[in-house]
Amino acid sequence: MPIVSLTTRLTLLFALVSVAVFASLGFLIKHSMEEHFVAQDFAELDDKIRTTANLLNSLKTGESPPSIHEVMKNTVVDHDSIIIKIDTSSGGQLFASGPIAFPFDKTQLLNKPGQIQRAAWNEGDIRYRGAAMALEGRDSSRHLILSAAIETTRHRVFMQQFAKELSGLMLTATLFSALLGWLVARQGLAPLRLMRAKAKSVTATRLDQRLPVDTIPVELASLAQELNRMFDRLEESFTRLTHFSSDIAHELRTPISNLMTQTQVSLSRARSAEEYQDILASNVEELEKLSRMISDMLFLAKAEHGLQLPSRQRFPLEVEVAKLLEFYEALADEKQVHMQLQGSGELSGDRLMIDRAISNLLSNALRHTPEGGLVDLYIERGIDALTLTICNDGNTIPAQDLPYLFDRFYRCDQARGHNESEGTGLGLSITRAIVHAHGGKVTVKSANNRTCFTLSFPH
Amino acid sequence: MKLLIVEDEVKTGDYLKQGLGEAGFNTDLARTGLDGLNLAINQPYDLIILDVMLPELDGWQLLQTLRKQGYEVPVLFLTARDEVDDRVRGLELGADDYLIKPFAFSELLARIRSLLRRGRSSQEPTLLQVSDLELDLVKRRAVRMGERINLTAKEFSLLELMIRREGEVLPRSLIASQVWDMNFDSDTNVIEVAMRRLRAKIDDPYPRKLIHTVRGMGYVLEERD
Repeated sequence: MPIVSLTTRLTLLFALVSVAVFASLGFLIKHSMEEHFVAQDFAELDDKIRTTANLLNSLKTGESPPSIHEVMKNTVVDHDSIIIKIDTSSGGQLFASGPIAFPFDKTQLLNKPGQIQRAAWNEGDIRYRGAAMALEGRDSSRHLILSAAIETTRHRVFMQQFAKELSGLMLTATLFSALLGWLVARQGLAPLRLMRAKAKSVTATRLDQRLPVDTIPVELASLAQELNRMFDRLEESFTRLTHFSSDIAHELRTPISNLMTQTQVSLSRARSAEEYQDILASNVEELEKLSRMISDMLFLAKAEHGLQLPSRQRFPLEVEVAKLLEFYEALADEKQVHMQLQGSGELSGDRLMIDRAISNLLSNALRHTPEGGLVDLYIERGIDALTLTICNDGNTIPAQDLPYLFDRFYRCDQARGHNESEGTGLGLSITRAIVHAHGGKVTVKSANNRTCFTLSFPH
Repeated sequence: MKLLIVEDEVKTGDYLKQGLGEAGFNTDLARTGLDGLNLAINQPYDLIILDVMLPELDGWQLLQTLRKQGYEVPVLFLTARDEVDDRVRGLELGADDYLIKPFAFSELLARIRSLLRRGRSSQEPTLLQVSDLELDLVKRRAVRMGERINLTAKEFSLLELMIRREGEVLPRSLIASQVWDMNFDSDTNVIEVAMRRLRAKIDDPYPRKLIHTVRGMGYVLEERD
């Protein structure tokens, strides 16, 4: 189904509703008019019968049938379209102003003299309404039956004409209300156009533009708020991305400029083979660092789009941690740092990735622990999550730095001195990406010269 | 040992050929997938090094064609895309190993040697010896110049790896993977420290040094004059 604009949609709905309302109104009007006509017809017929009955009663004293005929002809008949017939109870016809067969049952009428019976019937194409009544004579043999009928064709013609006019009127009214609907919809949707105009002004360089929340209707305000929140998130991500790009450029520039300078300097004059070897070896070290940074950045870029776990299996976390501790043992020994692990628990995830996440934290912890310090690890099985906490001695991380610790290339000391022992500056970001891919979260606390990272994985 | 390199990137291809040639391999270089396939079918190779992105016929297609025709030669893939799917695909099609670009040359050498060794089923020796250093694999004991040297379990594994691969330069990443099962880019400081501690036990007290650092490449254990 093609997408229809809101205005069109509202207008159409409005027109549809108008059609429905007008059509049912027309139907009701027509129906009540018809009812009215029926009532009117019968009232007229009743009236006619009663007048005739009165007339006949006044004549009863000795008038002869032919005179009845005369009187009737002169007084009653000529004025209107009502056809009157007077019969005797024995079946003789005293008077008839038209040749119609009435459908009334004579016996029934004679049983209840003075009571009017009604009927409607068709004769050929013409529809009639009629009424009949028995009139008591001096004895039962002299009872009379009065019948009257009226043709309804004139009503039908009128109704057809009326219906035609009515539908014309309704059509006009519908069109008019559709037009009104369109105007109202346009007017009602004006705040949306305002929002659109505002949204149009949001560009990469002007991400700080927000939709007005106070000046638009309540129904749209929540939408605007939600959109504004989306803008907030976008702005934040965008800013971070922009920083990230410039960070990448910066991080890559340093080793590349080292490489270039070193290579150019060494090419500036002839050197011994050992010197060349030294230079090349040092180049390789820089290049390895670059290469590692690139693969880390690729990993994170992929993580941005939702990291897919290559494999997922259940394994005892303490075994993996012990393996990592064994790996770092030599390094810890050198620094006389003591490492210890407590607790155990099973985790479901990708082992290699989990190894990598924990390895980054351990490497970090060892780097920041002073000689003779302690690195403490414990695994705890909580109600809804398995947690691994890694604590190390070392300078307290300032509170204002904590929220940014997992950002790429974030270093607490803003001076970006390239310390040889430092990693690529992506380790914690990678750890967080891996933990997120496992549906878990990572938090950090730092106080009293002790820093603790906690990874929690939901069961 | 005859190797076939199929690589379209000119510099990479040239350096691979030079490097592998200098490492003692006899190598042919094909620049396109079709050339590579023709060479692979018409000449006996011990190993094929295959780039994934190739003109005319890509690495996957080349490998598939080879395997369909019944060629069992080991294949090592070089891929710039570190997509996990690609790795799995490569290994399912019958690739024996893969390396992600950029890679360390020493890593490539080590992988090639592993693959070439894989076919040969020599019976496992229980005693390894280099110069005056002996390693008893059953008793997990190291002896040098008749003196028993106390090694931790990991130090023993490290030494065993180096003796088994005597004369080969082992990159740090390979050592981390083989000895500590660290199959990702881990802290290479650790390998340096571990190596230093191993040397302190098996080399420092003795006049002849066996473990040597090859700067920018890794470590090698060999007797040098």
